Amino acid sequence: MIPPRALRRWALLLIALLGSLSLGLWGLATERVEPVSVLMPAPFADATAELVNAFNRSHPRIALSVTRGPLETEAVSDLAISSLLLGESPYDLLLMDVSWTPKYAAAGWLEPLDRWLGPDALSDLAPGAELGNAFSGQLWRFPLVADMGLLYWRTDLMDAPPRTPAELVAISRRLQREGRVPWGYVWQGKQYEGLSCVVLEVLRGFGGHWHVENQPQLDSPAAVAAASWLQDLVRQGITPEAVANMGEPEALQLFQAGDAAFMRNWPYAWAELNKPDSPLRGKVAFTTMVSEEGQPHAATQGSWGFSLLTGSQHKAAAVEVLRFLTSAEAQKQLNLRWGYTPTRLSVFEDPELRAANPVLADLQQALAAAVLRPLSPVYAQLSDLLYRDVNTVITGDQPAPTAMRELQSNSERLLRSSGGQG
Amino acid sequence: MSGPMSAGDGFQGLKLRQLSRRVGSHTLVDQLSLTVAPGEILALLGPSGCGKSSTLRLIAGLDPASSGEIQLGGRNITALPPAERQVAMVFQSYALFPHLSVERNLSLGMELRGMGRAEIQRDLDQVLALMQLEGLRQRKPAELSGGQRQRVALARALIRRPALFLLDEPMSNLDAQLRDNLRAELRTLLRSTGVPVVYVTHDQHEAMGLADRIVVLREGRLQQLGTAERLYRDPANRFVARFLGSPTVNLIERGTTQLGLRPELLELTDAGSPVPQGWEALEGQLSHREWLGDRVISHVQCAEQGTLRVLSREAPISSALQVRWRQADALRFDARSGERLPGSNTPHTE
Amino acid sequence: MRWRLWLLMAPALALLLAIFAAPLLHYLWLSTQAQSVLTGLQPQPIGAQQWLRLWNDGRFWQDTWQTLRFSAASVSLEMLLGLAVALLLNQPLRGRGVLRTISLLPWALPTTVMALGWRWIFNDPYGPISRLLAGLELPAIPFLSNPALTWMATVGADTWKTTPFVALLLLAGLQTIPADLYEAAALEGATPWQTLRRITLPLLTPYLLIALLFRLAQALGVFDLIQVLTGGGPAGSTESLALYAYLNAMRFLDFGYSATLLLGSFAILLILCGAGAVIWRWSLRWQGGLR
Repeated sequence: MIPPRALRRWALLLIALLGSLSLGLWGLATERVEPVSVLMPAPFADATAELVNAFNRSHPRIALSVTRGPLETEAVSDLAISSLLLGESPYDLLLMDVSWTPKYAAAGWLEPLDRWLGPDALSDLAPGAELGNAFSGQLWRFPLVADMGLLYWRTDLMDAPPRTPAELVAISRRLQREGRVPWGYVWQGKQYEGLSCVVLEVLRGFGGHWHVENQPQLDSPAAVAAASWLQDLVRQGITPEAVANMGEPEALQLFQAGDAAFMRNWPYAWAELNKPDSPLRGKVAFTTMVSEEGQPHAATQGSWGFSLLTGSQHKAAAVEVLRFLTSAEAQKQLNLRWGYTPTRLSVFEDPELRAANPVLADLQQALAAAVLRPLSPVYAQLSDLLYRDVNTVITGDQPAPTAMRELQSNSERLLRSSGGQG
Repeated sequence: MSGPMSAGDGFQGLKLRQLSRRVGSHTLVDQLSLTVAPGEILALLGPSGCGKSSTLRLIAGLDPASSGEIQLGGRNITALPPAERQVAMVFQSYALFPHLSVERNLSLGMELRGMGRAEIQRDLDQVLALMQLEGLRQRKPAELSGGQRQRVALARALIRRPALFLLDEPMSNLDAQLRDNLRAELRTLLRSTGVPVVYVTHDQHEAMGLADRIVVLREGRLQQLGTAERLYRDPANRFVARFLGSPTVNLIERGTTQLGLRPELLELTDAGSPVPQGWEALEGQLSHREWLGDRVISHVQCAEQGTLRVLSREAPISSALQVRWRQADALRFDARSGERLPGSNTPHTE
Repeated sequence: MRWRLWLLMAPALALLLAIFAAPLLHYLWLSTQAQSVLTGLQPQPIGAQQWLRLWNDGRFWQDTWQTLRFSAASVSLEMLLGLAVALLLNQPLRGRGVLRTISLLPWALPTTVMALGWRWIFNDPYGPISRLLAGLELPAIPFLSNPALTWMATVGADTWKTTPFVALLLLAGLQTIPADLYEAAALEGATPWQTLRRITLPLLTPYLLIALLFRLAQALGVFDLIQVLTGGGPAGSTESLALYAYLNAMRFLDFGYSATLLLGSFAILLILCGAGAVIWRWSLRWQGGLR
């Protein structure tokens, strides 16, 4: 009854246990073993389990252990911050979301990686993947897995995806009118970080910017047009009203049930949609977000990467772990076995992988369209202001121009009070 | 304020007819029939669990009757809810509302019935004066002594001007001296209402001192109903004989018969004295004496017959004694059933 | 004599001081310090600036209003329903023990689990309510995406969860009321409603007050239910003071302002309690004067 994969996992675990036990004993007898502890969100801890075993086998003097954190991004952050605030963190490495980096760096919790990884550290990264790792002139994070916003579309309902906002609306209305789908487009409209990612893509698509040179640009005509477009999607019934409380899982649930023509989501949804029991298996493709003529098709970058903590007593060993887990070989395995998008160019161009994973080229292309959320130690506040305000637009509580004006002035005030450290 | 009288059999008091209450396989009240005339005080007497409180609750309507009928003032009230029976009840615990002042404890019922403020005030003043509670108007029950609480409970019953008065051991929470003092007072008060009164107690002195007639109950069944004197002198069975009288009646075996000898009807003389015609005697040793002040109880150990209690004015001088009694004074009971046998002292009069 | 009394109370007072006063004093100090990600988490004295910021912070006042609205609605509903359930469970019903146990289950459930359950129930369009409405060809109700409805949904979930607590407390209170008081009232001709108003409620008052106090304190500090069920949205309409303070501490790493927020809401709580006590006393006097 146990699936062969699970059996294999157990066998590997057993071997790893016995192996590390004997290695450990041997290590004790000969030399001191350096323990390295990593905190990761649960899915990454599961995916890297085999790599960790392999590392421990090949590195007898380092005992690598992974703490399986919570599933949700913010819950992992809470756990990490709680332990960091207590002073001595039990972790050496932290797997971090791109949006946390400046905050953690400013809090003094992160060790600059430049001197550990050398000047060429980022040279192998695919275009787009290098974004969000450095802040105020130093490297704080090395990316393990790339993540970017994608526009999923139904190949059974249309021949080609929309490239402009107007096209998306037109196709949706036609399909809805014909009764082929109840809804046109679902996305993340809940009052949380996911909405900021959605807004950034639409904003860029309308020719606007969140920040230019540390100055918010959120009351620009483009920004107001972007917010109005999102509001109109709901008003026109292309997007359900429930979007105001939708995160990634809720949007995926609706799209996967076949109740919408388009969905904005991350690459993980690709694997979910193509599972054997998925009703949309083979009926979905993805592209980048729609944009006005002449504006970029933007994909919000949401990568995960390792940071070294200043409190670590085993920095050299931890860097060894970081190198191993982010190596081309490791990224290739993570993509083959778990579907995680690599960050290294060499992995994207690996012929074996290209053959095994037909959408790799599309992902690489989307990654090249990556845009970054503002790099600021007060990014959490900035984003909180944005998703609260835009959420009031989506629920129809405020007209877009009013809300965006308020957002602009609130963001300006925040940046002023934080000494312009945008 | 007596209730609307419907045409019944013309009897204006309380009438129970074959009243029963059964809970599961237990019979708490078993086919009880009795009457209480207006102005009459009837005591329900018996040990705990004899059904006296259950009977009272049936009359009040707090528990439903399983069968039988309750009539009050000529109308059948068996099925009426408590409030419509015009019954006032004084609870053993007094059941005063702890959050209300004395005044409001008395007036609550009138307020609930929607009486006018002036009317309420008038009744209140009257009853508070009658019960000498004027100084305690604003007190809460917790700030009253036991005797004061009892007066408040009585006042709350009186102010209703009920068609029937029920009292459930109203004295049991008072100390002995207060109880003795209150008995006559309570009797006068209850009499003055002119309505039937049913008074539950387990204390024979209270029953004898207060009630016009007494009902002795045992396991829900009526044992005997009559005046205190009648119950004492002419008990229907051993249970009634034992329950009334203090010290308790002496019982001695005579084959299938038991003799009941009241302690005050026994005489003590020196052992070996001649026994007069029509008398009977036992010989024994004085084991100990109890002084009651004006009288004394002598405990005389009489071989096989056990100890006899003798109540006399003077203490015996010697310790070898003869206990004797007039044969006609002995109560005779069937040893097995405890029923009274004919040929006893007092002729039946009722 | 006096000093001995104080001596005897000293350990208890010291404990109280350590548990309540010390953190409060620390927060008071912290509210005069900028300690955030911008100061490298090092405290820097800034005087009353953060208090000024609090005073001018529209979001603080909005959250205060929302927290009060949530607390008032959920606590009054819980008191009413809790009283009804307690009165029901106090009746000599068959299977009362089983009923009591079942009715306690929501209280025993962890809030997070309960909130996830409600998120599913309220899910639009796949939750059971939406499916039922769809089956009846009625439009879906946007429980969690309409600001006017969502705060009521949070009140509903909270009421479902904590009514058993109130019911249990009040049931304990009901059982201290002697049965003969009800019998005396019945003899006086009190209707069930009159009995409730004149006898049960006055005698239950201490228990009602305890339940009210407990529930108000909990509701004013509501956090996990909101965090899981709505995350404070939509449009910030369900954000509570505790959630705002949490965001400032754990997400924004702005500990100085978070401490100011906590103290600010504490002050509001104190003012409310004080006002409540004054009104309570005043109404008692008024009632007393009436009689």
